[in-house]
Amino acid sequence: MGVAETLRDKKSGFEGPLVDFQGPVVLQSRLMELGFVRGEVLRVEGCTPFHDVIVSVRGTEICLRPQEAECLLV
Amino acid sequence: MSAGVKPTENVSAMDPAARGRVCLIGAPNSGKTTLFNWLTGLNYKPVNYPGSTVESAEGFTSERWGQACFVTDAPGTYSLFPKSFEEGAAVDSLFQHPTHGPARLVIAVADVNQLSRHLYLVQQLIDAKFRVVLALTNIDLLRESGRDLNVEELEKALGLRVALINGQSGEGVDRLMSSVQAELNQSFDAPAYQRPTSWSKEKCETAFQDLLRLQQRVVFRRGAVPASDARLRSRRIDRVLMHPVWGLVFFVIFMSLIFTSIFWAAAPLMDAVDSAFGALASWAVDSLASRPLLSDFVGNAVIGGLGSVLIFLPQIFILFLGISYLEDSGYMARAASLIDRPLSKLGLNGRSFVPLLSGYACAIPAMMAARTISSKKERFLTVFIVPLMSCSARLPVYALLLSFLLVGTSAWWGGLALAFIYLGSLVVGAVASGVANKILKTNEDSMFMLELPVYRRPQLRTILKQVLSKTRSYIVKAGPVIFVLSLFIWAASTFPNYQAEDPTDRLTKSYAAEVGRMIEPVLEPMGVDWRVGVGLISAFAAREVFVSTLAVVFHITEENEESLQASLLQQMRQATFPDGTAIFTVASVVGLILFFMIALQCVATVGVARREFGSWKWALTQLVVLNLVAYILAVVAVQGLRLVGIS
Repeated sequence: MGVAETLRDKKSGFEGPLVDFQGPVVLQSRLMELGFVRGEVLRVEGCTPFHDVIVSVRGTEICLRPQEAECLLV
Repeated sequence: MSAGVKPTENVSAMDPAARGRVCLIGAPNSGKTTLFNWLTGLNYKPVNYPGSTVESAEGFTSERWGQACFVTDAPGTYSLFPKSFEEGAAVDSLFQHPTHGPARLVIAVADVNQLSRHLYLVQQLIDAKFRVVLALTNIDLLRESGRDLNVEELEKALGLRVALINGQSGEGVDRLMSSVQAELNQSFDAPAYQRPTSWSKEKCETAFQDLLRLQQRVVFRRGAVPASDARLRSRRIDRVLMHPVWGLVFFVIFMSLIFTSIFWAAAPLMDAVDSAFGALASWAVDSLASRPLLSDFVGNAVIGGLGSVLIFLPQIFILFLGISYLEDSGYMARAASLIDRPLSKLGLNGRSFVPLLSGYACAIPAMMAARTISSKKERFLTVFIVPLMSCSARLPVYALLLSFLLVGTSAWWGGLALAFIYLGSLVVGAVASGVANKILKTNEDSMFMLELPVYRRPQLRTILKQVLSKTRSYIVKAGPVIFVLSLFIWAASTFPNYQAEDPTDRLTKSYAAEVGRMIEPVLEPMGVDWRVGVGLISAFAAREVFVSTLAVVFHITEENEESLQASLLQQMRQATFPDGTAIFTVASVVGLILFFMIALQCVATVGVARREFGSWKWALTQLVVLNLVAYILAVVAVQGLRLVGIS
């Protein structure tokens, strides 16, 4: 789909602004409450042994499941 | 109001609660609980919200800050739109606390290092027309990173009073309290809070952008950028602890340390409690020797019953100490992240990890720890399998049964077998959850999204408080049940033939024996007789009562010069069915171990499960399913072993 890719596909070290959301509304709304809003620069800090993604947003690290990272289009 | 906690005498006649309630609220990891501890010191008590089991605390502030204020703590929440049970309770405590009504004043707690993110909730509080005092925590970390905050500017921008708090030293609590006092002294109209409906995406975005601009205005650099600060340190630690390989290695090391502490740290203490109560009991029996029934009652029922409650305190305390230490240091969030994926395959959540780990101490606080899980199904499954974790009450049972099986071998074998049982209970839990996950279908979206806080040195005060509150929930919820049931078991095994001189005679004609004989046909496939049946029934008081009941039914009371266990083992070896075959064989003991691994035999747990599930239906389903599966597996094991020639 489109030019936008999801955060799930991004490697450690990726840095870029959040373009849009997709997926379940509940997940989107919690992500926003955590500070994931459009235009915010996200950075992939790494991933856990079982492929959860560690993202930093506004200086805080948050661990996301792959399907949660998939909600974030970058 | 709150009988146990009185603000200290005579300073003011006015009831602090009448001034209205101050409600502490903030995001998870904002330093809320630490602040609550500074405010109330020891003048607090843990409470449950009526109608639910969400744990909270309420207390009074010290009078060194003027008239005492009534403060309640609430679980962490990110917004006024709750996504989990616990967040719902936090939001309710603002608008309409089940017992205290709406809050008079809100202390919003925010981490100053995450200002723009945490002010999001504050913005919603202001919009909802709450009177807010803002406490910004972790100011020490901000300053360490070469920055500072312009308080006046922030107060002007938000229109509320702000205090900078250092949770490690308590600095800034004075200023916070003088703001709180000033607010409480103002006239107060009946609150007209406006519970918000959800915010649109655009509104969220604008709020976050505004807050970021605000943050850039009030946080300023002071001095050079330091070579290292808390975030950089955390990142460096995480390069090891969250490493794909080393992360798992350290995870295993930390968990092994926690579990082995049960033995090297708790076991000596448990032995001490055991022998203290043993001594107390025999002293009571001796000094009441002229009245046999009374001496038996006091020595074996009352003192024995108390002992069976208290013997687990060391183990529960030490396990929770380890868990709280890891939680407060920031590691537990990492541990949960590490194993979220495997757990989510079983229908669980990374947040299930702490409840499951706590289950090895006591299922009661463990079930309550599952409330942070937002998905209903994940929380349900977690509560469902918590009783499968080998709680401390099973330890004496395993100790007895394993020493029967492994007689004459080195202690290493016992340890190994026990480790096997502990891991086995994990495997059984995983299978149970996996199966239930397949059966239960939901279209609910589960969430993980866990914040990884910076690593910090845990504060002893905070940890001890958490440990005490969890240990307390064992004593309060399980203690009375265990105690009363052990009195009951004593009565059932003593009456009606209590006058008999010979204890064996007394017991074989008791009510307990009658019940045991009644269920003997069911027990036969498990390879045991009615006396073990009495033990299994009594284990519903608490599992370890099995051991003391066996001691009673096999008559290890008066002559125990050596340890109870040694004489009990000897009796078990000699015990036979009427036809002369041995009762306790390798097969039947293995069957018993399997039974104890799976069966849910704790009345107190069923009571807590009912509240956590929210219905009797599921609590009873859990009770029936776990016990039935335990029975069937035990029978299969016993018959299977016999089939291959192991009696």
